[in-house]
Amino acid sequence: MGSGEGVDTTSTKQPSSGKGASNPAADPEQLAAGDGPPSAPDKPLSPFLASSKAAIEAVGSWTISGVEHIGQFSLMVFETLLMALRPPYRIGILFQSMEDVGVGALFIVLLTGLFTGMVMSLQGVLAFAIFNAEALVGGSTAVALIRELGPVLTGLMVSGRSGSSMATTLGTMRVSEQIDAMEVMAVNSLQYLVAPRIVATVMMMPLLTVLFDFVGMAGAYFVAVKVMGVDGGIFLDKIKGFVEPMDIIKGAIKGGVFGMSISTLSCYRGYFAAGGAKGVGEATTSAVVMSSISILVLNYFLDLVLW
Amino acid sequence: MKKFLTPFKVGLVVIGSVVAFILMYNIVDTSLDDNKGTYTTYAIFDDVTGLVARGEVQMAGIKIGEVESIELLQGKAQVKVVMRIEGRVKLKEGEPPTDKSVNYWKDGATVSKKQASPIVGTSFLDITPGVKGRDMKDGDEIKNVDKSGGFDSLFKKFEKITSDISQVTDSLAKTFGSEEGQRSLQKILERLEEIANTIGRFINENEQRFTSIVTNAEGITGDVKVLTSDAREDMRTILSDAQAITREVRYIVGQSGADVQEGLGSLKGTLQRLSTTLDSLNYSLQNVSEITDKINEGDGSLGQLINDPTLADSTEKLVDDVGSFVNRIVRLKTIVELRSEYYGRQSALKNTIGLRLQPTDDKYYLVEFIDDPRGRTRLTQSTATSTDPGKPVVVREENVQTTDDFKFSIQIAKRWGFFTGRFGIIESSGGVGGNLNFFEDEVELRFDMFDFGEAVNPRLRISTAYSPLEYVFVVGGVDDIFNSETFDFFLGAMLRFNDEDLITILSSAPAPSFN
Repeated sequence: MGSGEGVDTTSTKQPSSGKGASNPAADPEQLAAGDGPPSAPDKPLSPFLASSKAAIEAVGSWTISGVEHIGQFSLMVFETLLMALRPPYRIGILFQSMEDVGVGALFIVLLTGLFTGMVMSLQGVLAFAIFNAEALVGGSTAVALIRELGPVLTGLMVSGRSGSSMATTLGTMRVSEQIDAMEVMAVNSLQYLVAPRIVATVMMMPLLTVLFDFVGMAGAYFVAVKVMGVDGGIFLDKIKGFVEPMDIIKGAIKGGVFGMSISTLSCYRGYFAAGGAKGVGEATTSAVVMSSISILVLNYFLDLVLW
Repeated sequence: MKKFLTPFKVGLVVIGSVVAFILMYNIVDTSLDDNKGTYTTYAIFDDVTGLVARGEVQMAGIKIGEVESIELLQGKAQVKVVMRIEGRVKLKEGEPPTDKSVNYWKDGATVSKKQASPIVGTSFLDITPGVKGRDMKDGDEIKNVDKSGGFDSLFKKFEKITSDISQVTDSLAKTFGSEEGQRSLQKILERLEEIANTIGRFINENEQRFTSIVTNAEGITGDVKVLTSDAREDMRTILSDAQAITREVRYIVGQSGADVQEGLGSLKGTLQRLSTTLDSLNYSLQNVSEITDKINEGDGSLGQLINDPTLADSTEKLVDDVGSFVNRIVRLKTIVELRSEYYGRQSALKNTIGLRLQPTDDKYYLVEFIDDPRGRTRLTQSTATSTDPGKPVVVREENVQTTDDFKFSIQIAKRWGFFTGRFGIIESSGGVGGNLNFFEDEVELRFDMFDFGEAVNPRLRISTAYSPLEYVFVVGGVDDIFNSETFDFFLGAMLRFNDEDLITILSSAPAPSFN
């Protein structure tokens, strides 16, 4: 049932998403032509009514397509998670994806972390110097990095580096009909292409978040203690007062959730890309934009839940 | 290659992030020292402004616990604060009050709320442990709550002081603000001026005399100081002499009163005695003056002692040196290690006794004696030429000899954070090693590389030690990883005592007698 369903889902859904652009114009006309009574002649509407009608239609079709997207997205995620649990388990592909997400984004994540920590520390020392409380810079930087900036910036970096690559790869495979070919060979494309990427991102994001935190704190320590002359012992001790061990774990959990949203949104956009090279480009842009927005919005709600 | 590299790279990221996590966890970990468990106590406060759950409970500035919960007592404007205290800290309940109206337990633990800093506005609890009564148990109440501490009460005091000041200024304003008041103030000022003028004139007129009086007083106090402090013994004798002499004078004068009645005949003799006596008093006082002069000039041993600054300097230096020497001895820690490991492939025991001399926390010298079942392997080569036609001309003999020698290690070690580097002689051959300590030294990862000459590859040993109990370690690891023939794994146990244990043992052991 598994692989058959996969083929079915994609083949039924693809046309609808491909038609997305022409839908609003085509559907109402068809409805009007098919269902309307023949006695009603094509009486031209007044300009005001015509523009109101167009506006209402636009809202309606926008709503329909939005709901459709949500449904399609949910089905894809659900089916992918289901597929991820079923054999065959392709460990090699999983490792490949983990390398792509984890190792590929490592450099940019560490670089961002280092300079974020350094700049936070620098500004913190300058600001706290007003109150003669430079010692607090360690604690405040640690809270900001471990709770918020670590997961969020790691997420943004990974979405820019790896999410975009996922959308492009899957989009290209879709428009060059490689995915269709795969389905013909009875390989479930969700299981083969999407599942490893999602699992790999969810696994690697917490690790990258922790590394970001660590490198950020090291940068903050360097700037505060070695450059600005804050006492090293007090810097570390104040961290204890502000941050709890559970904060690091919660930050990592946030990273995992962001990983889920980045990978699912990017794969969704790429997997259902249509319209040649231009479509792939649009899919990539929209993947990065959507995953970035999702990270920022999710971050707020995760804060409410976790702290 | 690609197939190998992918898991390897991913593995590196995983290991890196796990290490980063452990390091950060250790930095932010503030959990209580619960080696001996924790217990809860509570106290009833009138006001807990600035106090939060998980806030610190301190004793003399050291964290000993946390605020567990803060709850309002039903029907009262009072707050119950529950604290979790480390088991090693013992609080005393104190003696119950005899007077029922006083809610103060004498010599019992006292808790007070203090403000951490006036800017941030957070508070913590400070406990003094108390000296009498039974030890507090889980769920007991700290009866003595100090309500005076902290900035809150300080501000209240300030408030009271400012109102007092304003009262004073009010009454002052009433007194001097009126016209009559101003007039009388004017009068007072005039009188004051007059008095000051008089005093000024008087001083001007008598300036010379004042100066000489002050100089005299200075000289007298200086002399007295020298005399009393430095020539105390001499002074005492002289004064007792003077006392005796005056007593005698008094006696003579008393007697001479009677003599007058008896006749003037003996008066002459008596006056003569008096004159002699007064002469000797004069002489004694002259001696005092001479002695003090000499002391002032630096003559004699006493004078030199007092006047020579080098002596004081060298005494100070000597005390400093003794102090630093004693400090160094006190700082030196001695740690004894006994290790027994069972080697799986050789089915043999390896025993090690080690001594760590640790002058500072980050440096130690390690001396070890090792009974290794592998023994010590020596390779000797000999070449012999022979003229016997039945044998080859050159005979080369290789002789591998393994002896069951004791081996020893002497190493110097230096610690940086959780890493310790070691260098020196390891098992009777040059080598380097290192330790990684985690979780407050409960887990120790140890590696040694030595025997660079014996086989193709040097001997690398990696072992882990975990301390489930104090002093006791479980040890396990692998030995000679690079050489497949001699590769081995081992499992064992280690005992590690420090000098405090040794001191206990030595002080409780019977002392040897020399009878």
